Amino acid sequence: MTTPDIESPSVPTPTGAKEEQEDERKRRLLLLILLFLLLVCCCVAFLFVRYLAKPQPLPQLLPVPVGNYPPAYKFSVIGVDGPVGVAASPDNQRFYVTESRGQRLIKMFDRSGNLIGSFSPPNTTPSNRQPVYVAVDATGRVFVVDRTNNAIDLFDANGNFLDGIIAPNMTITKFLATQIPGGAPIGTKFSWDGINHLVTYQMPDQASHTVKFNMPNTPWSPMGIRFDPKGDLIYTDITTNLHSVHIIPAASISGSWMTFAPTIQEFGAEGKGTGQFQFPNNALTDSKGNFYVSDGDNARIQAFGPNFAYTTFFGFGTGDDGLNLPRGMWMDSKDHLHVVDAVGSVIRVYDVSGSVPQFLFNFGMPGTDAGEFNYPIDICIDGTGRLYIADRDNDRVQIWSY
Amino acid sequence: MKKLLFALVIGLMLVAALTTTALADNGPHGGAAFASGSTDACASCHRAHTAQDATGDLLKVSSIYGLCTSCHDGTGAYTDVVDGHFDTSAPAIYPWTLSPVTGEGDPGAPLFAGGFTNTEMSHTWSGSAYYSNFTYTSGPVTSGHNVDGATSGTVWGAGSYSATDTRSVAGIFTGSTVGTQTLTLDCTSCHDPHGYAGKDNTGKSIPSYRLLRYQPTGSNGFELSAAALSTGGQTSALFTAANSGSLDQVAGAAGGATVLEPTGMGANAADGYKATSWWYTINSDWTLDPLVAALKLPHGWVAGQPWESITNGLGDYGPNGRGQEYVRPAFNASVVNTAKGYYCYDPTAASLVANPPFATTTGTYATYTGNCATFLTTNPETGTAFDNSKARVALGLFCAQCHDRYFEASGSASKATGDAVFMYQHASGAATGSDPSITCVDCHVSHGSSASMDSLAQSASLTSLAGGSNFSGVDSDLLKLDNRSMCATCHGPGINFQFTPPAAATQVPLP
Repeated sequence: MTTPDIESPSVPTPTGAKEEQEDERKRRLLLLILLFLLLVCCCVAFLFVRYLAKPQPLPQLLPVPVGNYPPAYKFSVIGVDGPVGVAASPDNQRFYVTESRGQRLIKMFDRSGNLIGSFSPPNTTPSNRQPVYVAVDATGRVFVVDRTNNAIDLFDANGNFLDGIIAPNMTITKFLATQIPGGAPIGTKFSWDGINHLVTYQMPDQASHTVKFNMPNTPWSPMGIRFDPKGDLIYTDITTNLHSVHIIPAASISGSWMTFAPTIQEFGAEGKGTGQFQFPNNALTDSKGNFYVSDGDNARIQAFGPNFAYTTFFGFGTGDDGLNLPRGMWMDSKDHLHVVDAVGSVIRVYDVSGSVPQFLFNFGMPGTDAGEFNYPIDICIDGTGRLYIADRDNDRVQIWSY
Repeated sequence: MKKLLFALVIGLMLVAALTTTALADNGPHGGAAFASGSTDACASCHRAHTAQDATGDLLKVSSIYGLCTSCHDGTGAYTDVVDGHFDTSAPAIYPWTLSPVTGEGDPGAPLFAGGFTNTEMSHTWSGSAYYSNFTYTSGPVTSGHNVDGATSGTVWGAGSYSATDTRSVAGIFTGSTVGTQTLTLDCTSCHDPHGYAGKDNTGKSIPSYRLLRYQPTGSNGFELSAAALSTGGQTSALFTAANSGSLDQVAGAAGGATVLEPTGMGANAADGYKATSWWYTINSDWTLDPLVAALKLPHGWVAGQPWESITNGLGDYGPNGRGQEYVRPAFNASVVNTAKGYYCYDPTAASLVANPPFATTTGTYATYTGNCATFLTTNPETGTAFDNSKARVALGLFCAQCHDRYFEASGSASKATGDAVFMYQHASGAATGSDPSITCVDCHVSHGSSASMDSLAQSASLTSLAGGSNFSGVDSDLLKLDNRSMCATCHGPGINFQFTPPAAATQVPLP
């Protein structure tokens, strides 16, 4: 008779302890993973609840840094006739569009694309005004270049005409101060006829007067306008043989226009060489104060230092990064330069944050469908990462977003 | 455990995916330097495989007008053809500032050809002081050449006008026996976007004035003869841009007349001029080589129009011996008679200034002082008098390649032309001898006019016979001024015609 094997009582052996330790480790790991997932779910839930409470674009809830990837098409705003210029308000709640056809108005829309108003320089008709580029300063004032009248018109945020720069150192109100002792009183209506160089004004309860303004023999043919972060107004000028970039100090823009006397800095000349331009349509700065000029007819972007010294050019030639006809531009918060290629009907984006500009990507393509362009002209990006693109021959403004 | 971990990993991936948005959108390949001066520039407008137009030109865009006005809307060129505005900043490199219709073509003034959407014009005529009427108003175009590339328009004054009159110049709109000719135009019908549509005195291609072609697309050229009308026996050769380089192909025509002289051949071999270049590049010295001695119009031969040249250029494409020049047409040739000196339009003075200071440097652009663009009257090379009136006649030839039945010589107002419809006509450029002549561009613009017409003027328009124009329906026929003010600018002073606006009517109380 054999004695059945009787297992020895469970006595922890070195091997069993090891397995237990392993199991413990796995349990802890699992617990950590579960805790992590719980945290993520809580964050998502928090954002969701917050969104429900106050719907905002995702970047405002959770700022999404503009990355090196193209934006996404969102929707289009129609009801604009040949849009060429676009600018957003500093509170990101409205945007302004200039028309090159039809009534040639400056139209303003809310963030959803609803038309909330339109305006134009006083005493003008669609035949004798040509609003092109537009810019909005930090206080919400709207600056519009009128090519027919050779003026930079100033409107308040609601489109009320305030004044106009009609020569490098002259505004309408400053000129009126030479005609009206003490300057134009409050309530005076005035307008500018840049074709015939006439200022028409009417003081309250008085007859209208028209006075000739003798244009000074100084270059004055504004084209593109932008504001730099300091509030300086940067405009390009296409006076023959003097295609150049000009900077009006912020203090002159924000001060009294009746005593407008800015010290305007400038650089550039007309031509195809280094530092020369042919119909520069736009100029702006990056975060370091470097200048970039949309050198239209030379099909390139030229870069200059803060001291206006030429540094480099890019976007010239064939290839994905080659520009056909650069027009409007915008610099985003990552120093990514967005250039509208009008003939290419595409937006080309370059990273200029480094010492050498790098092509990043294009977005859009020629066509009439959603997300396609037909001679786009201008672009702006608001503080929420939303892009507005004036899609001229599609008669719409396209809204994209990062 | 492994399954759980795998599920967790997947889950994490999904969670991560919620926080990212990305849409790839690769733009089209392509892009090229504009005006790079090399073949690289071809790619700015053309695509070999992805062209979007139906013209056969392999354009990357579907709208030629859209492409051209990407710059010629004032944002990329001084010639704003949308609004008919010559940019304010452009200097007076076209110093021949003489037009009674408000100095058109001057910097900051209306573009000479007008615009396609708006045109700046002077809509009033102030009697004998019309030179001083320099107040411009801009208005929507009421008539013009429709260049949208899609709309077919009637070519007035061309081809067989009716079933009973089928005559037409050989080669120009032949084949039609009923009704009028039609054409669909775009910018490139008249302008060569490549820019080298002219020829210099060596036959080398050079820019022509405003990039105008030898002949508009759709026309078939002119018949010209080198034999003067007075000698008789004209034998014509169809002269087109195609054969302008090898006219010897049509040489030796019967009748003893020498047809147009090709480069390096003929009696004046050293000249080497090409006749087509004279239509707007003004490259001939008539005294040396009377190439265009006669023109064949629908009803017969008329004498050709000589014109003079200035070498070592002043003008559009000025210096460095290009040798061609466009002199902006004067409205009234007699005013530019060299004996009367030269005149200057001072935009700040709103009146003509006689004998202004003038400075020039041979081989460079003419310069001017102050606001006064000067008017050249003397060939700086030879010192001979220069009559700029000839140049505009060249434009008349250009227009008449389509509108050939309008093209008549001086004296045609009282001498029957033989044309059953256009029997008696105002001279329009087919002038005789050395007489300057009025021509198309003296009264009409080529892009668009904003002139307004009242009922009588409208009904008198030829276009009204066939249903109106392509624009607003106001048959302004591309005239430069309202109603018939163009007539009055020349004939007004000779006619006892009061232009004083009638006094405001006095309200008469009812009995």
